[in-house]
Amino acid sequence: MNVQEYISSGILEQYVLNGLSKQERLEVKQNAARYPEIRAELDALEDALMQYAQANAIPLRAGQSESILGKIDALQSDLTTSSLTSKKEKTTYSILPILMGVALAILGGFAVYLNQQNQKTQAALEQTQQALAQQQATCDSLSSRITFLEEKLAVLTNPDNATTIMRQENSPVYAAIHRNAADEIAYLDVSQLPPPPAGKQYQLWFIDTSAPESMGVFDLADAFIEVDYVAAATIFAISLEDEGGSAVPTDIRYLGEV
Amino acid sequence: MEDSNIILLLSTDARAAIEAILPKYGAALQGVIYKIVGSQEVTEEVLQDTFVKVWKNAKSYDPSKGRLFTWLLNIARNTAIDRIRSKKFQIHQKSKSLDTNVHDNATYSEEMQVQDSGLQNVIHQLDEKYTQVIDILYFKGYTQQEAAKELDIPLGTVKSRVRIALRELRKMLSSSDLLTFLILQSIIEYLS
Repeated sequence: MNVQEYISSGILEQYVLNGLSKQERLEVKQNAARYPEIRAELDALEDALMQYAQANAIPLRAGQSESILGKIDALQSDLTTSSLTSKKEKTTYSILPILMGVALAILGGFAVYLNQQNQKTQAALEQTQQALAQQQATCDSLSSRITFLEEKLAVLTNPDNATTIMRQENSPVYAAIHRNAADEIAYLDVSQLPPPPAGKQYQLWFIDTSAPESMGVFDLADAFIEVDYVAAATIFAISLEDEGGSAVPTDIRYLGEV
Repeated sequence: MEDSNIILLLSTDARAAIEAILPKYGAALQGVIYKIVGSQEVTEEVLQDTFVKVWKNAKSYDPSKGRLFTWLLNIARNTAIDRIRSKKFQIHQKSKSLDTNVHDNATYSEEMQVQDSGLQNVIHQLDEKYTQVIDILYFKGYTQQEAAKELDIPLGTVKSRVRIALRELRKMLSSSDLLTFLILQSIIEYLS
């Protein structure tokens, strides 16, 4: 549609001055909604008519406004004193108390909301602190584990070390002793051993040429235990003894030749 | 007060809305009513009845259907037309002498001088044959067919006068032109 042509066709002037059929009015309304230029033109025409009305205005004489408002007040008080008294009185109340009530309700609701939010935040903070403590503990234990593994790795990869494996017949389970002749240190690896029965303890022995000699009892709290360096040993053995150990091995479980 | 605020008041506090409408549009509505009823006394009564109707129907105003002034104008016009069709008005007219009618007109035209003389001078530049068409259509709410019959001119002439009248009116009232005119006028007044 050519908007300019439409505007200059005169149809808008007919529209604002009541000169169109129902169908034509509807079309003008639709076009005004679709084209801002047409809407603007209609507004301008209506403005012009309004100013025309203002130019033909007859000022209200003194007291005329008051008389009109007085008439309305009289009608209003008639309504309030009629049969619908209680209902109508409500409508004549100032809306200020209602607004204040609404404002209070909103504020109250907001306070409850803030309090709930605060409690939620507190709970979340506590949870986070707990999680952090757990992480810290995990971290500490990992750290000590790493230190241990590093030590073990250093022992295992040391080219000066000699390792003796102590085995049980028909079992994959073993213990090992790593000995470093240069530094004269030795480590016992018990990571594979099952926990001893209640009241029992493992005991380490070495044998050179004569009877077995005890190197002491040990438990499995550490998987890698530093033990005495015995240069003369030809056999290492682990026995299961009553708690506290025995003078002689009574139940040898693992045995390995150097 | 802005129309938008008045519209808000109409739905919450009709009396307060009317308090705001009176100084803004009261005089214009009174002018419209006077064009229809032609008597000061009746005009004032009709204006009061108009505002009572506005007060009673405040909640029925729908801004999407048209501007506030158009709604007010329709109420004023219908109230005025109802009045001139009423028996009371016709008896009143018969009992009045020609003299008082003339007096009525004189009082109003004096008051109208003090209203917005600048704007009125602008309007008065329009040829009467155009203002006549606008008055009958806009103020009295005639259809264009009714206007053609009333003014005894062809419908085509009504339509073309509507077009020219509004075009001229717009030209005169477009803000910049009006401003220039009003400034020029005040300079002339000052010089004389």
